[in-house]
Amino acid sequence: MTQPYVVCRVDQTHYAIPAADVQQLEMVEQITRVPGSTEALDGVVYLRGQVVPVLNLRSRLGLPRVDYDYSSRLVIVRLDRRVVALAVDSASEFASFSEEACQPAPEALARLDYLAGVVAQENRLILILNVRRLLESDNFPQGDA
Amino acid sequence: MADTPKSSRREALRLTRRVAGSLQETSEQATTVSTSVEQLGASVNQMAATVEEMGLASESLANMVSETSSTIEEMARSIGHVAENALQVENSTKHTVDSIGQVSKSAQLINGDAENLAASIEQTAAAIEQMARTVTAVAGHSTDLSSAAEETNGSISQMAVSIEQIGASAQQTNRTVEHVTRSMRELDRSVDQVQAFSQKISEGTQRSAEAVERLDSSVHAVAQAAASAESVTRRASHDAQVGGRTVQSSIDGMLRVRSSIEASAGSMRELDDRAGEIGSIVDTIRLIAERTNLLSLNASIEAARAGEAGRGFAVVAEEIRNLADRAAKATLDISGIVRALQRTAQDAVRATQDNLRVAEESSVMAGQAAQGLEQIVKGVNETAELVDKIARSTQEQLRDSSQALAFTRETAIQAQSIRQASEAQTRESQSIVTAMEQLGKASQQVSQAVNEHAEGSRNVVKATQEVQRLASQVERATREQAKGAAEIVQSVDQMRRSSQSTARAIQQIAPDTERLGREAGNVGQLMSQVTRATVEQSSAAQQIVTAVQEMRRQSEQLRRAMLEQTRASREMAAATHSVNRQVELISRANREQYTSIQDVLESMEEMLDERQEFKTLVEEE
Repeated sequence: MTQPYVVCRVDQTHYAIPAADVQQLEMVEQITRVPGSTEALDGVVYLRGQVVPVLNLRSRLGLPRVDYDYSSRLVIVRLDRRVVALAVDSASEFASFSEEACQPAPEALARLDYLAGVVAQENRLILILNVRRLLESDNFPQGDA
Repeated sequence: MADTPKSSRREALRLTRRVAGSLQETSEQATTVSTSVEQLGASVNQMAATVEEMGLASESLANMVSETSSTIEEMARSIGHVAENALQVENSTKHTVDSIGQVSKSAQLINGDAENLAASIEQTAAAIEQMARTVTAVAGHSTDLSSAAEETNGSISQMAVSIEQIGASAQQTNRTVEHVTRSMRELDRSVDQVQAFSQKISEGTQRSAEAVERLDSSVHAVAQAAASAESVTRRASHDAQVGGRTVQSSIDGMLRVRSSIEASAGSMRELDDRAGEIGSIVDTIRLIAERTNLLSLNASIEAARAGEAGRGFAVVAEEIRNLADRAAKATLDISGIVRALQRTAQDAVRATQDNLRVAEESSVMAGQAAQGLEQIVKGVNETAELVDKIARSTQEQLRDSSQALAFTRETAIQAQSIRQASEAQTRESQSIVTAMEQLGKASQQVSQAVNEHAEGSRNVVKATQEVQRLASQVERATREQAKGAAEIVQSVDQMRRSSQSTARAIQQIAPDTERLGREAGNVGQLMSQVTRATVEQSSAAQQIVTAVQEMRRQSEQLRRAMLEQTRASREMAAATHSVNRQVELISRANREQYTSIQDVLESMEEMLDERQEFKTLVEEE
């Protein structure tokens, strides 16, 4: 049994987000800044009649921000009724991993609860994200469902 | 005897004339010198003061020479007088000696006649008694004869005294001639000094000619240097003009380079712009590729959500995504190339701008160079003008220098001529001294001859006295005869027979008387000879006067020549201090000459006085 993932990249690291959680991908276009919001929150975008908060994954993962470019993507995820746009450096792959290929995170990284597991490929490792934990551990204003 | 002093005198006159001639020649040469030096003087104005001083010195020299000339004239006149007088003395003495000889002969004849007479009287003594009155008359004739003999004796004695005085005068003349000879030697020494000074002047002139020659050669060198400077300047001007043209053409080239650089920069900018456009197109393509990728991913998500039904769709989405990835990759490559191209283009633009700046700077510098070259050309042209002026003035200087050289050479030649003339004067003067010495010798001979005359005259006196004594005896005898005759008167008739023989005796006496008459005639002849001699003396004196006038004329010419010389000397502006000094020395020598000649003059005047005395004596005789 295999699960489909959207593979994205933040800095030099590839992350896999379960396609089931992903509603869609968008180019980064108009982000409206929201003063007073948390540090990782870049602002809000308006997508298909919906106002969606943008979480900067670099900022969320403790990396320095970079300017958006053609490769920058917003990965729109939906958890229950929450919709959040994750800003990543790029997202251009769609891949399916078997459950056997998904290894649990090492003990040393157990405290990083947003990691669901690791997929080892020939020349790279792909970290599988637990979107729920990623979002829960952060105090976001919730977007309308 | 008279020939030697006469020829010496003529020699002296001739030499004096030659002196005058050479002085005239000197005058002509000095005139030429004057002309030359006048022109030379124009070239050397700064020497005018020196020339003026020298002119004044020369003028005083001329005055001295003039005085010397007049003194020489007087001296010549005196010599002429002396010589003429000596000639007259000679002639007169000759005549006198002849006369005395004749007198002596006459006296001898008289003596013989007297003896004959005495014999006749002895022979007629016996017969005379009858011829008392005739004898008385004869006695009276005898008395007359005695007194005449006495008178003759007195005259001859007087003549002897005169001859003694002549001898004394001749000795004095001899002494005077010696004095004149000494003075003449001093004069000769002065002339020698003048000659030495002339030599020095000639040498000084030679040196100044050499200096002028050196000046001339240095002016030549300057002229050559100026000529070469002119040609160099001309070349420099030409080169500068060529350089100016070259710089101008380089400026033109620079302008062309600049415009082509500008054109090339424009092309580069256009290229950059085009590359930018390509970049933006590539961006658009990449954007489209990214979007395609995005859409394919979204399609894959949707297909996954559709489950089994979306599997085929998922495959299509996958292929679209692959194409989009390849397109994105290609656009990345293109972007890289375009960026490189843009960088290159921008580098080229920058380089071109640098080139442009360099070209502008070069252009500005070339413009400055052109300006500098223009100034150089101007300066070189001005220099060329100056060099040309220098060349022209050097040419003039060269001409002046050549003229000065010619004039100085001319002056040197004239100085040489003057020196030669002075040497000739020296020679003449020495000849005069020799002539004077000869004259002295001749005068001594005259003196000796006069002494001999005196002795002869004394002998004549003695003979005459003997005659007188005999005449007295005759007179006494005659008186005794007369007494005897008176005693015999009474027996006249007896002695009548012997009267015939007495008459014959008287007839014998007649030739004696005739002889006496002839002797008297001889005396008259002698007197007329003396007169003729006097006339000859007068004519000789006239000739002397003419000669003296000639000498005066020559002296005047000499004076004029000396004036000319003075003027020439005044105008000999180029003469140096040494020349001036020499002329002053000459002036001093001339003063000495003047003094000598005054001595000569005094001697001559003494001689003249003595001759006058002699002449008076002769005339008295």
